[in-house]
Amino acid sequence: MNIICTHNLTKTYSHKDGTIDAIKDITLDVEKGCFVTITGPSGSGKTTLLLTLAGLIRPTSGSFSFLEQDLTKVHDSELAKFRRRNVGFIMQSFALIPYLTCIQNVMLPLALIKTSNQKQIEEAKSVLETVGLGKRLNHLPRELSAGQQQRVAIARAMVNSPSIIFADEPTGNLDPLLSVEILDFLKEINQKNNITVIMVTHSPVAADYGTVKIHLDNGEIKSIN
Amino acid sequence: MNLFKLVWIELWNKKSQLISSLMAIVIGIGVIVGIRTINVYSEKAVAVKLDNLGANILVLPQATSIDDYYTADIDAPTIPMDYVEKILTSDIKGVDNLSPKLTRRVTIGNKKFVLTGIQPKNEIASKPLWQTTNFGKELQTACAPSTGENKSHGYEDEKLKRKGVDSLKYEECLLGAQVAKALKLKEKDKLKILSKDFIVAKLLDETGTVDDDRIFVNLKAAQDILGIQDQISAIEIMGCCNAISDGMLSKLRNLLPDTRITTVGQIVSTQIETNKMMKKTSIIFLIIILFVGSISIGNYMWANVNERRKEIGILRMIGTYKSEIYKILLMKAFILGLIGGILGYLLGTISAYYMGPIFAQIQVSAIPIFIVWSILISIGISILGSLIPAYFAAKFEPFSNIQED
Repeated sequence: MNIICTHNLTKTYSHKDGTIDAIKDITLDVEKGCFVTITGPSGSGKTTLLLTLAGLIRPTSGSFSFLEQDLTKVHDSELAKFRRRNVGFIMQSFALIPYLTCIQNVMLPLALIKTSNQKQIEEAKSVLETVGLGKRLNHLPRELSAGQQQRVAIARAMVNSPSIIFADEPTGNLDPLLSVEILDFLKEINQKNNITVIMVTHSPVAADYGTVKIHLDNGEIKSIN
Repeated sequence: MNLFKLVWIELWNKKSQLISSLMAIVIGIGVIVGIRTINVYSEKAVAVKLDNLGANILVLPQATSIDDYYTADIDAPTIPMDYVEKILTSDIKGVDNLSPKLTRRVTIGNKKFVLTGIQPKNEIASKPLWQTTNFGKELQTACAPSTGENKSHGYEDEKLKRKGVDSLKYEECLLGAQVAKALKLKEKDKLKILSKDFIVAKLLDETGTVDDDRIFVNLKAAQDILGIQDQISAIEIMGCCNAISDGMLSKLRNLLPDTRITTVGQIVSTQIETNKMMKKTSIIFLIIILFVGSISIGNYMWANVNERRKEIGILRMIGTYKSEIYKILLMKAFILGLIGGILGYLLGTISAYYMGPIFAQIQVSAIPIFIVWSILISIGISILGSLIPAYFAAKFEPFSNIQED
């Protein structure tokens, strides 16, 4: 079953010197439960593709659907609803709210779907324990190491039991040892929880974790393995 | 976790920013509440005074300022006691009652009060010289309270209570309601004023006027303990209204050319003018605070929104609606307004409480309804100033802000 399908997906940015096609005519089917890695040189359109698939930016043309629901032209609030219910995000810069503690950061996605406070606490605790941060619940992000912060971000991505996790260079700010630890974790989530993972990376080591490996260049898919 | 808690945590996290952004609004609301509180009590005091004041003519030293009705006789220069006799032995008709006074501020313990020496009626009446005059006899004839012309001084004759103390011994004192409360004294207690012990003869009922803050002693005793012999600071005269309109004031001015002779109506009209000015000032402040407060809060919100672009981006990324971002920022504005309104009310009320007795010689207490107005105005200002920043914040693209790291 395909979780994401795209058809001739194109994103064009306007610039004073003309227009730039960040991605061009991307047609892609992603099966549920896949671990997709997207690689390519800088400026090849990896992040644009990821953000478009995640419903964070709108394509200029073409279409994309999630579980057969066309999301190309839905209202902004529908896209937000899609993200809050089905998607988890892991970013290179961790994207944590700095004044919220670990547990509060992880509780946020649950708060958006109106989960009771008690349940928020229980589920956030449980997922933080899973990522090995059970004793850091009330620490602020600045009190944690980079690897720990990324694990909080993973916990936040997992807590609302998403169908799909989008990861943009999740190991970009981490040393090789920590990178492997995070990648192993993503793999585990992918396999144990059957959560589809789409990950953008520069690293060949990270790219090897993918069951589907997409290589982009100049906004176009060069290869899919 | 919910949106309100998220806003609260963020505000709490940036307390110093919160305080600085609130300064303009708190001070502004405080000034308005302070002025209006004093204003309201001042108006009440004027109304009460008009009803209760016995005397309708004041003879004051020439240099006395009558800008403030309440302080006209306090710390005023003095005039000779002989002026009382001059009035009584003159051919001026219509003096129904007359009360010489000497008023000064005194400190008892650490508290400041107003000491007023008064001459009781029995002493005035006992002066052989005065018994030969028509003092007090004309009321029944010339001053019968009936005609509309009596309203010309701002009140009706039948409302006048011929205030005066029948007797007050040399060693006795009368305490205004606030004084008795502040010094925790009751009748028959002893009270040391400057160097002399007095016995509290009576606690006066609360009148809502400056008299509540006064200690009354016998005029001779006041002159002795203050070291101001044969001098007084004011003469209160209960003049017959018909006589006043028949030229009594000009006759008094001719008799005592080095004094300032004024009617209560004149003094009260000065106070009413002052009250009107205070009211206008508070409206001007309201307009200023509407501008300054909105700009201040708007500026804070704008800076806050820009500073938190990344956080807003994160919230949008994980699925927060634009409307919820808008709600978050307006909720923040609401909380700022609420805190600003409460603090402004407290600041204004506390200021009025301490400033009222100093500047207007009136006791002021909190006016609860003002807290509602303070909060409503403050929230209104805060939300008004936040609308544009909130609108732009809600339009932030989710991901572009996160990449700004």
